[in-house]
Amino acid sequence: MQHVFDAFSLGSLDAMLALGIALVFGVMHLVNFAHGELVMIGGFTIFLTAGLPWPMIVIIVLLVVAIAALLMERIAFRPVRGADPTTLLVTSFAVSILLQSVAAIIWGRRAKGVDFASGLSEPVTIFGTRIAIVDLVSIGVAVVLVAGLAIFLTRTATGTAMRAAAEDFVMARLLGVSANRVIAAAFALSGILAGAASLLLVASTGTIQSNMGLQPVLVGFVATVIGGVGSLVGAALGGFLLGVLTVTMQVALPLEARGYRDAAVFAIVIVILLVRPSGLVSSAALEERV
Amino acid sequence: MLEVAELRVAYGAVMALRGVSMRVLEGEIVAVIGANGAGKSTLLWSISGVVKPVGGSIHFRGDRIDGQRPEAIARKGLSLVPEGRHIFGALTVRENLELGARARGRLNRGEQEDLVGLAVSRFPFLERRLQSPAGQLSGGEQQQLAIARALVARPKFMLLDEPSFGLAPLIVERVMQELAQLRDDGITVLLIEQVAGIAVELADRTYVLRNGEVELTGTREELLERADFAAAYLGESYV
Repeated sequence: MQHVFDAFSLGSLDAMLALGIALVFGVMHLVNFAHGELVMIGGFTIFLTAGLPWPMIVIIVLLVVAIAALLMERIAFRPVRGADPTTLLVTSFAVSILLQSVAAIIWGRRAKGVDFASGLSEPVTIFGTRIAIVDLVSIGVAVVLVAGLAIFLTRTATGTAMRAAAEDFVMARLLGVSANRVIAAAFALSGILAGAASLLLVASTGTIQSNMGLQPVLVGFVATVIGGVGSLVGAALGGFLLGVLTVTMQVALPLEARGYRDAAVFAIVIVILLVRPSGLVSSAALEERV
Repeated sequence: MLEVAELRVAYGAVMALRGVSMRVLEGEIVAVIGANGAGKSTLLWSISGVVKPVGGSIHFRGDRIDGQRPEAIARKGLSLVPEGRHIFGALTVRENLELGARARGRLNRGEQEDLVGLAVSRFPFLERRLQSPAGQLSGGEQQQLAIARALVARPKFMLLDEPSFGLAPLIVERVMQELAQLRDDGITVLLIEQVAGIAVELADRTYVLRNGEVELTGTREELLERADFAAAYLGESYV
């Protein structure tokens, strides 16, 4: 039972990261490796606001990371919009390294302890099983964010425009959909997801570091690939699947082989991609545009 | 209403349009025909703002629109039905229509419903398919949805790129009836067609493009009088 909660908790975090990456990819065909630095910005915002009541920290972090994502789009990615995918990819690496370096110059490269929501590490007993509160919160936050995102995408004019732009960006513009607005909305939402991920990460690990976004963004990227690049449903599924796989391997592998957990997980990822090269959910977004 | 002057468009070193000039008056149906690679679609993409010209100008209702963003041009009342329909297959038919209405600016629920109603009254088959993913419609239905989606923007000017492409003859006839209806509704139409017979029949005036230049222009009667045109573009039945 505990492993089930662990799997869903980790899967929730991975799904949030994957959705953030997939949202931006959908409208811009940009694999934003600097998404991890949004998580890092969230982490350092928690560090700087430590001591404030937690609801205020949550609001400030979500706001700061969403604004950082908007600035990232405006300053770094808008000038190269429409460039070939390699240019976009290299730009995102450059932004990622730049932000990591700036954080390292200001705060150093060593991990710093942060006392944020440490009470969430305490376990509670549900159906006779001891489960860390942070795991329940992760699952709850992911459910709320995924449901909120689904409602936004299907029930609002901007959401519908985003789905249309993800399918055929040029045609959406020809119908009067503003490219700037749709891309900004995708970055802002991606920032909110990255902010939420940073809050959950810091709540469970209690540390921040200039390169803290690297591992999560790689996991998020792999989750989007498993799910089917360009598909939001696929990204969420891929995230949960990756979480379930990681915890399953952690439990299933003999003690002496647990060091190879990630190798085993990624071996399974390779098998999944060999069977379904376009991921679990194929997407129209990857079809050739006008 | 639309005035294209000395328009030049290049894809790298290749000149796709070499100084094309044309004029479309209010209420007209004007056709552009020509072989593959003549520059027809490039002309249309330039007018709608997707392709940036390297020279010349495009004026729509007195405003210079070349260099403007596609969404800004759409909001001026210029709707495009591109070749291959480009409907949003993963979105429902209703969502496709609602997106079409966006060019009219921010609408409340009632106004949006009125515009969807307008599309349904014109294309009754849409009513029972409103909640279906648009990708499930047949090719002919998708073409009609693409026209309906352009119509709900209540455009002053419609650009249609090869609306007959890939459709059965019976469906082509229905689509062409719809285009004739547009003129009766007071919508000015620029029609790009590879099937010259269809275009010439329907249009008030026709421009013939060849290698990125206007080779010929005239009314149906003027063009049919020219044996070389009929032989080259309309086939033996017209000669």
